Amino acid sequence: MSPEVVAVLGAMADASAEAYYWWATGLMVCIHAGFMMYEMGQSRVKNVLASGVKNILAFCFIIPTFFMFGWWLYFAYGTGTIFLPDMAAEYAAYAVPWSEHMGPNLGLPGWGVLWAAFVLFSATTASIVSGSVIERIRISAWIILATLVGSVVWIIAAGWGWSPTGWLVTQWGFHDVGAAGCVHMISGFFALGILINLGPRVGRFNADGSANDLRGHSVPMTIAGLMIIIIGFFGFLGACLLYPSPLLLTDMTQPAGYLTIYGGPVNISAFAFNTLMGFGGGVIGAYVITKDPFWMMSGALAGIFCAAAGLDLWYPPTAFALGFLGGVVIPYSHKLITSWGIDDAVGAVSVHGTCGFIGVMAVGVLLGGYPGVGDIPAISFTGQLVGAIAMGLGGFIPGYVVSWILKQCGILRTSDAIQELGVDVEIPVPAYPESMQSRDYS
Amino acid sequence: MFDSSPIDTWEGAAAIFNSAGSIGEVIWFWIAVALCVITVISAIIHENKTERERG
Repeated sequence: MSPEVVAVLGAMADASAEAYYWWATGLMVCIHAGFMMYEMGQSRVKNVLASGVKNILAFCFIIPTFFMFGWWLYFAYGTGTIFLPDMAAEYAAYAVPWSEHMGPNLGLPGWGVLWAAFVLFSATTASIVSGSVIERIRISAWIILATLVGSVVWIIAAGWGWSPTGWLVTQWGFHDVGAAGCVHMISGFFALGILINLGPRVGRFNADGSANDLRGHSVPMTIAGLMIIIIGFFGFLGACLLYPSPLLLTDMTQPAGYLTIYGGPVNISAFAFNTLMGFGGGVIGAYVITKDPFWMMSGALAGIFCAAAGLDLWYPPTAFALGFLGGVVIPYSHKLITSWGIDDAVGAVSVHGTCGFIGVMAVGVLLGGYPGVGDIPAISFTGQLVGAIAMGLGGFIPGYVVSWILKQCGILRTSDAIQELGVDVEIPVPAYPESMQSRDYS
Repeated sequence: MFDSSPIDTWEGAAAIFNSAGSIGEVIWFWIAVALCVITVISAIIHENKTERERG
């Protein structure tokens, strides 16, 4: 093939790659729209707009902070050690905010859309935590914690285990194509760390430890929001694939197809089969146990996460069965966590933490022996277990430590008096001025 | 734990899903069918109970 033809093919592939990640990024905004509806629906009327504002601000603080340092952290930890970044990492220099590539640059097409896709992954990670802490976390504290999980913690974990050169991959053969570990386990366990320090909502627990149900004001809004999140996950999972193009280092002189983040061959069809099967299994599993539409739609997410780590490799009925397992497990997991006196308002720890763990370990139990690409070790139970421990601790420890510091500074939790009145006292407009009682604006 | 990989190398690989071409494929298929049937039975039992108690 002549160099001119290769150049033209490369340019066309790069343009297509840019379009692919642009639309995937746009779809991922649905995850935020969905989480916003979900959290507002799960809030009581007196807290509804504060929940929405919290969600919107988390997304919008992650955008500039991921530009400032998050993108650099991915490349620096992609070849670094567990704790130390690689200051000389090959692409890290492209990702520092004063690099010539961190702005419109005709010489490196696609860098910005890759950054954008990762921004949405980051914002998704923070959105996951957002629901668990509604109705009593201070918005200022939440901005700090959301930035931490979205622009620091998850992206370091992604450098470890969602990158072809991360230590979890090169040393342990860790396999997690759909980010069950670095997004869902990280966010679920980060949320757990915060919840321990944040404390429950006023009225959630009685003196004898029994729990009261603090029902949200709109179940239809909640379940519609969860369905919209599912739409967004098609963008998320699509963006987990590497589009064959010079941007992603494809040799355009050879036949090429999509790759996983680890460089293994895959196609969108594999993801299509297993995303839908995991989704369906999760809803059905949760229905069998609860008959509750909230848990059914949470089961939809749980089902996808239980299949996420091996979306490239599952036989679809296996993904369905894993999804079913996720849907069955989450209400019991939530009940257990509640019995510990932990108030997770939306079940995020169970849906993301527990099911992210199931997803990672299912690969270790059922997909052992699959060869890695190049020098990457084969998939193994031990490798997945090491990864699961790293992700669990990697999420929990910073969530716990930083929220503890904020608590000691007295800026983590809204006072009981404000909680009784409704956190929407901080919002200058009423949520439902005519049809539903919000709070007294007189 | 379960070595379910149908391939030893990615060169020339086609069907790469777990248990491809083995009895495991059949087993997983029937597990999925059973889970669907269990769900329908669960729904029937639940609705009959509601009819008895509230109908």
